[in-house]
Amino acid sequence: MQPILALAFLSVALTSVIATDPLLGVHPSKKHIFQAAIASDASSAFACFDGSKSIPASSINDDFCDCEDGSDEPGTSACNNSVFYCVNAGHIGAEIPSARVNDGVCDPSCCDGSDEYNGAIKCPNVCAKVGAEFKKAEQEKKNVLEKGIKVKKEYLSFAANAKASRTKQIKDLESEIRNITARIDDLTALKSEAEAYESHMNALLAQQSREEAKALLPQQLADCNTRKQELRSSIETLNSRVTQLQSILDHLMTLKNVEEGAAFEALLRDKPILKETLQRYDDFKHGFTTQGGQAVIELAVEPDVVSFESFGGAEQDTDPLALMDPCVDPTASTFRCLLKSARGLFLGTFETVKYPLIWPGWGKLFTAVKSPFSTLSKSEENELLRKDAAKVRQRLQDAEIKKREMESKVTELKQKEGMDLGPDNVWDKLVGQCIQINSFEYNYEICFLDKATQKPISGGSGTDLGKFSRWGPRAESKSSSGKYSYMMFENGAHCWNGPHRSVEVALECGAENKIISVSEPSKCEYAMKVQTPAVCEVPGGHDEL
Amino acid sequence: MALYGSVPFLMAHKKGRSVGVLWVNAAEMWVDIEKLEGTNKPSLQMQDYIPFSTTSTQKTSTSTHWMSESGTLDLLIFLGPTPADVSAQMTSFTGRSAMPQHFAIGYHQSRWNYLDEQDVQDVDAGFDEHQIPYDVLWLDIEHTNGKRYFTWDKVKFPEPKVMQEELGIKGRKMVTIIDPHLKQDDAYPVSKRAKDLGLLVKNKDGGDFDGWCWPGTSYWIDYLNPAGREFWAEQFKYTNYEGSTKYLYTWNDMNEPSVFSGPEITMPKDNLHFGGVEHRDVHNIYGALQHRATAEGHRLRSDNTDRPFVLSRAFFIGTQRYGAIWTGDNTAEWGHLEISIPMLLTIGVSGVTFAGADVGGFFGNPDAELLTRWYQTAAFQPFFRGHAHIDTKRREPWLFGEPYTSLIRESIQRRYRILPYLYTLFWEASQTGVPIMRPLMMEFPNDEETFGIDNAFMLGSGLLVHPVVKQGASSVNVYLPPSAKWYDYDTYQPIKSGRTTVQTPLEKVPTFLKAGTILPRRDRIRRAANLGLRDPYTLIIALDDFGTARGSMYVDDGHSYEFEKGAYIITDFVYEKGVLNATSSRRVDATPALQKDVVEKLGARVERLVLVGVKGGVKSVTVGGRRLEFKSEKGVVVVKDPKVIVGEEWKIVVA
Repeated sequence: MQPILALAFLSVALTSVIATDPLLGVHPSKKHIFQAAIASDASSAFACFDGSKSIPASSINDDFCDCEDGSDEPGTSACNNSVFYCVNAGHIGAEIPSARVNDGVCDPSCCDGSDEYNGAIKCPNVCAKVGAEFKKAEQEKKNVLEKGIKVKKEYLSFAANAKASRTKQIKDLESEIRNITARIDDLTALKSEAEAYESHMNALLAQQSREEAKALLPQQLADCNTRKQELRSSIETLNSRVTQLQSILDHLMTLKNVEEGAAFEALLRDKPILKETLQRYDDFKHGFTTQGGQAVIELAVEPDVVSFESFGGAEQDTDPLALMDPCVDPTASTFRCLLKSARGLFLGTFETVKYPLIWPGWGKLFTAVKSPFSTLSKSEENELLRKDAAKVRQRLQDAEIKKREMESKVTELKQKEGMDLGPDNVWDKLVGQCIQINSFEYNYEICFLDKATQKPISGGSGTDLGKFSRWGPRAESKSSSGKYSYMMFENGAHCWNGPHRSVEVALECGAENKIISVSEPSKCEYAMKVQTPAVCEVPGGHDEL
Repeated sequence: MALYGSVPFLMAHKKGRSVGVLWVNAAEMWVDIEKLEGTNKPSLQMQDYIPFSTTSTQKTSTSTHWMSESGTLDLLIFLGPTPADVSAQMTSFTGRSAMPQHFAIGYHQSRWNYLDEQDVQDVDAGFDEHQIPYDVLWLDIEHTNGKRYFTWDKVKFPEPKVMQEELGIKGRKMVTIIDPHLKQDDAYPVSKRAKDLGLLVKNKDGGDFDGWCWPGTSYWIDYLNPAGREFWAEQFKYTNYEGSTKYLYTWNDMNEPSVFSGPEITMPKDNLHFGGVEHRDVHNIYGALQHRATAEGHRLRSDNTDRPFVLSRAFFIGTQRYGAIWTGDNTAEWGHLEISIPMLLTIGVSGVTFAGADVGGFFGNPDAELLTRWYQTAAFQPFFRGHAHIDTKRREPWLFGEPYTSLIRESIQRRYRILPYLYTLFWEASQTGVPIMRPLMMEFPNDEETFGIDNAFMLGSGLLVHPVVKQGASSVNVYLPPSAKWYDYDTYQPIKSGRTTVQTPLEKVPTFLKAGTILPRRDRIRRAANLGLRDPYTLIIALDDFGTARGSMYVDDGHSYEFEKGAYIITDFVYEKGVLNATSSRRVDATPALQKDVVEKLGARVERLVLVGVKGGVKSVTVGGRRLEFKSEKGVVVVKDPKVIVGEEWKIVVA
């Protein structure tokens, strides 16, 4: 055999991969271009799509890449930058990179198996099955979309109302805050007046209570010293009786030990209780030898006489509440006030002229006398408050709390108003709404536009995975599907040997809000897939089905 | 950076003479290397012991002083006289590198850790979506059940076989990590049985050595014990390693051995091995023996039909017989990219040619520029794997956006195009011991200017690569030995030899084609290396001043041992006087049936010739009288589809 012949034979065998059908792999929309080229026998029948050059029809699908853009080889793997179109009859056509033509792998996108035609592998046509599954999946997707769109419409109408009501709420609150601020100013002024009265009053009461205490003390001290004397004499009686008892028992012990030893032993044998008693006394005495063999009880109270000064002297404060002035105490009766007033007047005159003149009880007394049956006007109430520091403080505190509450509500409302709540504020209703998933040993929770946390399922405290920081994916390079397809939570708890924790939430259309999966692709950088009606879109851009 | 391997080999070279010294000892050792002024020579000088040593005319000389703590010692001296000769001589003693699997020279994607089956699926799909080829997806320690190797985390990897098959169907593979420490757990059969069989490394008192590593308290198999290696190899059988398939290969890490609780994070020196040998005597060989036992396990599980692929961190003299190594835990810093070149050159010269450094740096986060430059560099290095620490951010090639995704894609594709050339170099290394990645002085031993160059390298004898390893470098100063003529590999235009400055925008990897080279390529990019095994070739024919070029290509089935029986093709291409002549040689002892089959099974057509440096016009290109289409521009002639078959003999005439 001639070498050349052998070569020719093998060439056929090894080059049979060449596609003979110039229309193989051509996208239907381009078919007419290739058909026109095939019909022509010009050497420039086919123009590369990039216009770089023209080639004869025989160069189309001849398994050699002539065009830089790969357009001449839709049916082979010759051009790395070309695509192959599979017809997929019974399903829908698909394009795959040319690198997957005749690579020995049945590409799932080409259910008709047309991507593998060189005989190395036989790919069955599974389009009927794939098509049916695809249709079913499409129908399911459509159902989900329908449900999702319905919910999304609710979100949108909520958002429209919420915006109007927020504006009104802010307006109302701000007006209320103005009112309450004015009232706080009033109360602050009243408070300083009332507190001046109060401090004078306290000084007076303290003085009174000291006087009363002084009056009582001498008798109390006398009682105390009498009691102490009584205790001392009963101790002395007890001590002398103990000594007496000891000497009797000592005598018994002497008998036992010396004089009538044997007889006594016999007695002890007959009376075991006596023996035990003696034994116990011996132990008792033994324990006291270091103290001279005698037990003495001492009263450890010094000094013998309790003096007035030992209570702290005249400077000691007395609880003013215990001596509540019935003319200031709103619950006290007018009668008691009158009594007290009389006493106060007397004391005041007796001690100093100053106190009764600024005595706060005058107000109540005056009112009680002047109009016992009338209700209080605002100015009258203020008049009362002016002399009631406790009440004015309470009122002021209540007013301040209320103001702060309203202010924080306004801040919250304004913050929400300033928030990017997505297209048409569709996320309005979902702000702060939380969804969870268990994944391996953890429970993950995200609250939309708010925060993300992780808790061990076995119990224990949660870890902060971050606060909502922005729309868009973690890395800019992934932004192809639009920034509202991702929600970033950042700046969570710091990670040992790593960054602050963060979560990238990828959003896809779903009938309800649900976490589909969670993973941690890099240390402490989490990725979640979440379904939500909020991102459902009808293909074409209108939310109509 | 820690050192994970040691080959006590030193090569000395001067114009006209190379020698090598191999100090065969596995204990702790020190080597002092001292440069001395000419008149002040030490009394003991290497050249005094070399009978053919030429008299030094240089002002400086080098003296080395070797010290080992203990153990046995063999000293071997290889006389060259060229660096390639020294490599051949040394590896004739230490062993030639094993022919790797074809997939293994593609790109590997690793991370500590791909978390679960979904993650594996997503990363795999990411490569397809971005049309970036890759061959192997790696799983680090977290894939196991509590760091018990040969097991799976059943929650995260419930269907390991399905996972591997899904990769396998696309021509891809998976690698799992299998470390030498065994968790102390009687419910863990590997550990229990190794203990019961008495195959563990012992402490100084003869009890089983107890140390701390990833799983907590652990045992270590004694790979010095032949029964230990046999036991280990058995574990790789599909019946023993549950959830393993033929698509699964192995990575041996922590095998220096790493012992967290031990002195210098390794074993106490007075630990005892097989035969009562102290660890101090054999420390450096321990990991290599695990590598060996693992490779034997791979052969065992396939009944000697499938070539092993095992990556090891520890290595020693002769590691090249067992598989690949990498330089260990590096960092995402420019300095670590830069040093990867001299490290890999040194390791290659020491015989271990299938080596690489983790792309991007293991620790820390590379920025997009560093990562891009690292891919560009590593695409031309023998073992090509991206890997990252568990604390780092994700860095799969498409995560940095444009232009980086495209630049990284281009780097990896550049690798895949030269796979036929690279595979041929691996064959050459397996036959001659010459490393794939070579210092310039190995190719130009008489050019003194090349002696100190370690920021550029030769890939085979045809490509000179001078990667950019400095941040923001807008140019590099390249040395192109003037004894040859050079072309820019990207443009095929001639470039001035000697010292020359090359502009290096981010897309540029200064790569040069040596005139006189025929470089076989496969320009069709498939998803994985093995999917393109029957794809047509492109031959780059770079003409020298005489209008000649030569090259050769080795082809086999890429995975089996059939090549040992002769099932391979070696085609030699010679271009001279306007004729490209392809001749094939095969082993003479191949059976006639094999000879008949081999081209049919392994042959593929040549779809394109690229003639570089053509002087004057070309009127016609013909093969067997058939005229071929061609186009000619700026001295580059591209010939369309000669339809000739690699493995057959043919002539193409350019007139």
